[in-house]
Amino acid sequence: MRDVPPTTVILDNGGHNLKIGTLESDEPKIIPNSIVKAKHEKKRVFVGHQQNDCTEKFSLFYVRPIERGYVVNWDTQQQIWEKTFDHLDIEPTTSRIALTDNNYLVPALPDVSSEILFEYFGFQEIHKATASGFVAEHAARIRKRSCVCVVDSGFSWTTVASFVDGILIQESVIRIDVGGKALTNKMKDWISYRQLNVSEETHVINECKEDVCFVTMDFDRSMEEIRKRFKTIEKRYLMPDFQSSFRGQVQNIQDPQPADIPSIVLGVERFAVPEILFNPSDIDIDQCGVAEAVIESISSSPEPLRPALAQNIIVIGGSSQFPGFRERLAHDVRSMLPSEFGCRVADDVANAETHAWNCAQGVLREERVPWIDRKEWDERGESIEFSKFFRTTISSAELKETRNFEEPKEQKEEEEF
Amino acid sequence: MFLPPRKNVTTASQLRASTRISNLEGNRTLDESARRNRRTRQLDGLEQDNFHDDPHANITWNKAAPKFQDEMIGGSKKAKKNKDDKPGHTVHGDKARRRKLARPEFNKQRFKKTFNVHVTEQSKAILTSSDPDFRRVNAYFLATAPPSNKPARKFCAVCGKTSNYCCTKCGARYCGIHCRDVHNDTRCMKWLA
Repeated sequence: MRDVPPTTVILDNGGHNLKIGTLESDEPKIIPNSIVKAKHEKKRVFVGHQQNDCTEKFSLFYVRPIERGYVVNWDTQQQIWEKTFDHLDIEPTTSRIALTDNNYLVPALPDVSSEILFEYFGFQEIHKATASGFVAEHAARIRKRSCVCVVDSGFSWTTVASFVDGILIQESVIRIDVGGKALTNKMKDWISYRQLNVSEETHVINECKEDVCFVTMDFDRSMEEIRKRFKTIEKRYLMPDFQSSFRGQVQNIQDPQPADIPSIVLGVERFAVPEILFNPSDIDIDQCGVAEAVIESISSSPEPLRPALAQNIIVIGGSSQFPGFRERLAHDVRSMLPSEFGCRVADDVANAETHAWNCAQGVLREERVPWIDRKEWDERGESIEFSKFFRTTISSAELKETRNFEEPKEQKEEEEF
Repeated sequence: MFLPPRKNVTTASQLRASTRISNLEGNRTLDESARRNRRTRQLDGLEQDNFHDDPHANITWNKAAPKFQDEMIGGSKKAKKNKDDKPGHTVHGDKARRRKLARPEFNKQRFKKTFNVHVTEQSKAILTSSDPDFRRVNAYFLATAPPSNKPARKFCAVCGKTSNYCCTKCGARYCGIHCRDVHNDTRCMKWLA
């Protein structure tokens, strides 16, 4: 039917950055998954990779396609994809695409991406999975470790999911509503109240968060150091002016403060911001932290698998890149596991942000994944996608008795006011 | 497996809610539900992308282009001509405006619906379909992380250090006299996002 085999495009569609490349590329291209409007430049908007052309990143206005991990704004997403494919010289009609979509981890919204990929772009074939799913597949097929617990701490949420042989154990999926966006917003909120109004500077504070924040091994001790004013934790962050400096600079608090550069001093924020991932209750979110979620996920998996899952915890996602994240997670999980269990958090993840993409590439090189083409999709639509790509240990029929629809709690609360 | 069963914990403030105390504090004290609403609103703010207005919201792309207040007769012909001259601007200028004019109700609707409402509707839609995939029903809410086993720690809303006191009016935490004064002057009973 086809003369030339299609190019395989791998697209990890993240909330903050999309990671894209072909089967042959060494590294994925990281492209912001947003459209940006700048105050100084009123003649144009910056779509995806064009944000490199935007020199003054003050008061950027973001239009994002993804909310809470799911694409909700398809117009925006389509524009960004189009610009990205153009930029990377990807010709959709001679390609097939492997896309990450969180509906295949936690089904929530109707999946309309196929419609856009087939009808608007004209891809030949589609494969869909989740970032965590690709990591699990990779672990099962290439590393030959069938049980894996994947922690994905991304921009819009944090999920913990256990897999066996690359198949999802659906009851073990735990979703925490804290991700990089919430952390940046909270940090902005704190700095704006305590020092300098930065509520419009999402971009600068996001970089500041990446540069100065760390996960402390002992929260109480760090807090004590702040309270006793030891000045061991405080750092000064010099804001960029986008004329001479394009990224803020971290400075020790003892160094002389440059007079003409606006700066902020970060003390308790340095470790309290990432701490929200481990204790969402610190900011009144009534959910457990990552470490407890790992325990919860492991303990809702079938009993014989539990020791193996605890032995193979893999951490991915941009928000797990805070220094000390993995060590702290290992420490906290260890303390809550039964003593006869081993506990190992994989430390061979070179770049947590692109790890899922690299795993996807590794899996696809094996060429054993299911693909659907236009014809199959025309015939059966969304249902074929879920039967092919959403592979769980429990089938739909087994759930029929137990899963009746209940009004979710969150909504009831909202109706009160 | 190895976790104790989760208990329904009554918060300290619920136990403390006596009528005498609330009478003393006058009507200005927020009750527990108002405080909770405030917290929810604040948490919703964490998912916001922007805290300022769209800088491109009020741009006039072409002086001759018809404005919202203009009448259709007369002005439209001239505008059409201009549009054809500069096709490059249509995407964010005239076209966007036209779309906005054509279906203002649609936009309103979309922003009214919260994410949770969308998810709930999808669950219902699947359940009522001919061959429902039960794995997709209510999965989003079932996956929500349970509350923590540990009691919540309290931090000063002003300086971020550990706090032992809480504002009698709005329930915000503070750590000492200084922070209390700052809180009363700036944030008590007014919410800055």
